[in-house]
Amino acid sequence: MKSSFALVTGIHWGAVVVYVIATIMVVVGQFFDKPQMVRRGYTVSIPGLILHGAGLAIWWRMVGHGPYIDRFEVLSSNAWILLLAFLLFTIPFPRLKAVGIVVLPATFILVALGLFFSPEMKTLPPTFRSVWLVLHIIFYKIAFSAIIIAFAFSIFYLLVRRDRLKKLANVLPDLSGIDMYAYRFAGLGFTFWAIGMLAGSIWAYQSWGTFWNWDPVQTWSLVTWAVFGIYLHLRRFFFWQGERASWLFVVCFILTIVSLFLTPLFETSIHAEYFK
Amino acid sequence: MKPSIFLTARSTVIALFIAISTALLVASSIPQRSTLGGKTPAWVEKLPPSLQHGTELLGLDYIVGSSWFAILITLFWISLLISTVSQYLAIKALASRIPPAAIPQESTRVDCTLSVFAPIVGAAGYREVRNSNNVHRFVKNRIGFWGNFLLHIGLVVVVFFSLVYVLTQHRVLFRLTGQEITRLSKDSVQELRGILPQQKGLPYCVVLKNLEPRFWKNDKLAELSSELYFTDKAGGDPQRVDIAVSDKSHFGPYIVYQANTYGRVFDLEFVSAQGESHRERFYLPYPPSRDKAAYGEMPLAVNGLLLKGKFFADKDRLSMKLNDSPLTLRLFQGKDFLGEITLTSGSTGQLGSLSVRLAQTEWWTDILLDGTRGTSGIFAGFALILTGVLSTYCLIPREIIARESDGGMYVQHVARRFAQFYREEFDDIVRKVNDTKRDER
Repeated sequence: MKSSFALVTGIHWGAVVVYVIATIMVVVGQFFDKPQMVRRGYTVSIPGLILHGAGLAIWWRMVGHGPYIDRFEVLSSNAWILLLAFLLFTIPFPRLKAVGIVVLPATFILVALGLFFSPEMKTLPPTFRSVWLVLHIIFYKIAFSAIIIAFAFSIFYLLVRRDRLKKLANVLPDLSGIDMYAYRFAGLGFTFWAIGMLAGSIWAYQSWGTFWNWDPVQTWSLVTWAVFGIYLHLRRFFFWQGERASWLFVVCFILTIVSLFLTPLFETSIHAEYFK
Repeated sequence: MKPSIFLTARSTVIALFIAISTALLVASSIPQRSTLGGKTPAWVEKLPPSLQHGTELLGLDYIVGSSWFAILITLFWISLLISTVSQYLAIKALASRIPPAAIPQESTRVDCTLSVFAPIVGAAGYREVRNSNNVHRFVKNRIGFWGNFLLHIGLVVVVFFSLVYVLTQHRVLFRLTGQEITRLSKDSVQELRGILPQQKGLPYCVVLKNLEPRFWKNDKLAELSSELYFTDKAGGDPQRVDIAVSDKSHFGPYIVYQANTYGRVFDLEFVSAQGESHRERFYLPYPPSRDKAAYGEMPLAVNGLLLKGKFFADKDRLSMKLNDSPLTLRLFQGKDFLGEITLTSGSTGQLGSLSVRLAQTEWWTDILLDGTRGTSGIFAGFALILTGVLSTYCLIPREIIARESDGGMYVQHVARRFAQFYREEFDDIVRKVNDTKRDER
């Protein structure tokens, strides 16, 4: 068992190293206008993603369940889905590549943070045995990825508007384009968050015979989703955009972090050992 | 005013929305029967009888299950239904409209024929949907037109099935003790009923034949399953129903759920110094780990005595498997400690001034029967809403209107949302058309 632990942590550290190299190449390439280096940086990130995926698969087999519970596995899988979703999104939206300077560091920071939390093999309570749980978690992870991308664009907007990030001008869309990307990815995050809540609700109904019970994690998730809804509503019907929309999204992002990673620590909940 | 106009008027919708929100807010701030397993809330019991009657008549102790709340939801549903029909007609007209022949200013001139233009826009995902008088309408993501309709129909489905849920709600929670026939009646269960009177009766009785907890190596619960025997009516044949946590089953109109609460029940026989005897049933949860005891306490019916008890899963504390573990009892009067005794099944001892015998021990667990209808409909409605949101958001319909004129074409790009976002797509098409023309030369 110890050797398997060492293997998984070793693979994860290996992935972190590859991600760091990819990050350096992408950041340097973008800031010094070297598109070839940026392209190579993204190419380097792919073996990192494969290595990282292999580490997660071995861990899954070792613990006998998906990455739902332990901090290490939750953060590591979030990072993996973030990078995978980002790379897939860049195929139809090449302009998205500029966000790599946020997504790539976020990826290796999440993995490293997970490793610092010391991986633990946790067992699943009997209520955590449902296909709806798997869907619930996958959709939240996709939502988290979309929210990070939207957050990156919101921050870009605030910086570019203040005449920062001039070196990224070539790779970023214009100000209104940045704003629109933030809007669209926020909407995607909102939708996947909603699907995640719905899947969770079906899971709860199948496991406990009730689809909602105002558990702290559920409540905060609902509050976060509602604030995202307000953000989108203000943008669509009250024509909020630019600076104030970006600041509102920063608030949404903070709520996301609280909802996904902090509320499980406050109180006991139906989510049992999640992120404890 | 026509009822349909009244029901879809903005003021009516806002008034209904406010009324429903206020009712839900009140329901979540005042204790309700729904949150107390069907029991009357303490605040209602404290009221004088006439007010109690009025409260129950108005359904204030169970707002979401009251008739007036059901009427509000029904009105809201009818309003949604009418607006969904309007939405359908509007979208149908929009999706199949023929643009006017007049060339708008924002059109771009391309010098090619339709036979050159159509394959290029086709390759970009645009399909011709209508044409008339040399005006051709190419649309990409046509399904996106229907996003709003799907969203509306999803809302209609959710509200309808929420109404079904409220009307048919029937949840029954009860505790079973192993090997014992439990007659299910209003007195032995916690029951929550909706407002429809014609609901199925409770099963006649149920027996918990076997309860089997399984544990991980770290002593955490891995699985909890029960073997139950339900009898539908007096003299009927028992029917076996196997359930486990996260593995529900069915009996008649009910879904049967295994709760994850379980433990051991201890039947105690007390004899006082005066020779009066009485029996008590002491429920204790199962120990959390092999080296930790399960604790519980229970007031006794005599002289304000308090009984505290504990037991381990395994008497040697080596396993989570039940292994002949004795029950340790302590007796208190207020804060005064009166005595302690450790008993095994069938043994007798002295606890303070009381003689106590542990008659038998068995498993106990909680079971939930849910006969409510409409939950699947609510989930299906939400799925429709999300499909609508996704198609509105991710499949934004874009149109290219091509007007043939003077041997060339005037093309116009229309995106219902994020027009600027798709401008590059249109520019790319125009560039390809121009490149094709250049190649032909």
